[in-house]
Amino acid sequence: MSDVDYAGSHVPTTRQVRSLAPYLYCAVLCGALAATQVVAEYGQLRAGFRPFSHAPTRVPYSWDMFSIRIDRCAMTWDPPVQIDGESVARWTDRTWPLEFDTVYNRAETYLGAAARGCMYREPAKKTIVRLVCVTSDGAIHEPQFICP
Amino acid sequence: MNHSSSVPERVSLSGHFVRWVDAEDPSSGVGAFRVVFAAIWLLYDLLDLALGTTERSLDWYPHPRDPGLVVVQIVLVATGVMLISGRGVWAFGMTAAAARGIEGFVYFPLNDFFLGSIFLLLLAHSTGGPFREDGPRRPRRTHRPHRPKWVRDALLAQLAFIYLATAVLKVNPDWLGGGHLFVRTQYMVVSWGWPYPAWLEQRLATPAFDALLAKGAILAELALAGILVARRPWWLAAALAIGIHAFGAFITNVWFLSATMIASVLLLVPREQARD
Repeated sequence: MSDVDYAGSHVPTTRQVRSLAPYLYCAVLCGALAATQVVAEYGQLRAGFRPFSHAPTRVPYSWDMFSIRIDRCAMTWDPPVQIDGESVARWTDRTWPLEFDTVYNRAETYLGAAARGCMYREPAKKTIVRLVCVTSDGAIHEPQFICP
Repeated sequence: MNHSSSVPERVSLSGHFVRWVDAEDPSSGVGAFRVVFAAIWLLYDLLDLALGTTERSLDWYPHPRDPGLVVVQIVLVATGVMLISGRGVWAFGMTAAAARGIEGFVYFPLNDFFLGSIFLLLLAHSTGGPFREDGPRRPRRTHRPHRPKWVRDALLAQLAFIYLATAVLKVNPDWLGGGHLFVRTQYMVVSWGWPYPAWLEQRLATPAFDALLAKGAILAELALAGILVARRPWWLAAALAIGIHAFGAFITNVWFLSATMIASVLLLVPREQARD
């Protein structure tokens, strides 16, 4: 096999040395990808995942989509709070319905976020915060509190 | 045994590897997937940049935008355009992979971003990578575009591993008991009044039904992983991918990842085994 460059001229040369590069490159790239994901799965085991026993946690590159334990809450303020000059009665008033919904994984995080909304209440009025939290034990909780 | 006949050539492991790296992909599936993948995520990044949605996921309350995140999003938009155009695929693909990884690690740990970074890393090599990419020394008029077979093999292996890993990680009490799907679907009902058909909404509110769906999803993902390893039949891979991800998109409001996974299976799994 002769060495011919793309323009058709003969290339005499260092072929033996240079030609290893693409193969080494490919081996390192594929090896790094595989190693990253093996380490990620090991990370899941170290974090406590056990089949049929303990749910996984979020570990990059372990492909834990839809498998971690989650809670979700809907929340409202009554009367609405004022944010960026707009009247906001529900958390979803400031999020995009398709795909880009702002969600958290823990009910406690939602409670903290709901309480933060009290900073934007109308001072003269009593503001009630209501949450509807769905948890993975199949329950729906409805905590509520008055902004301090 | 007739020793005068041709003796089969014995090829070492390294020889097989060299042949694999040198092999050309007869199909144009990877190139098509690169364009579709880049288009899907270009739309995502344009919306994200315009609406500030990742920014709002970081903090729902008013705050100044993070300039670093804006830069990452602009880089993703620019590289997305270049990947669709097919110019400088390696350079722009690698840049996009890095930007998506930064977005996932530094800003928001979304599985979509991690998956995107790996797909981009592999797609960056779809025209040959740093060593044999089409360029001035390899004019398009005289040479067919370089299409390394190893890129498609790596993408298919990656896909199969993703389906296997995600199915195995779902083997836990929350998923198997239907709790995870219950949370996602009931949240969609409570928060958004999601337009499930009445009969489906009624059943999704029952953990036993969610558990049945959850187990079916694991079986479907394991089956798809196996088919991706075997690379056939295409129609079954397509049916499973569309079934899993169309369901996922409508039931759980996850659209971009769903479109990506459907496109990957449809375009990367060989349609005719004999031609592969």
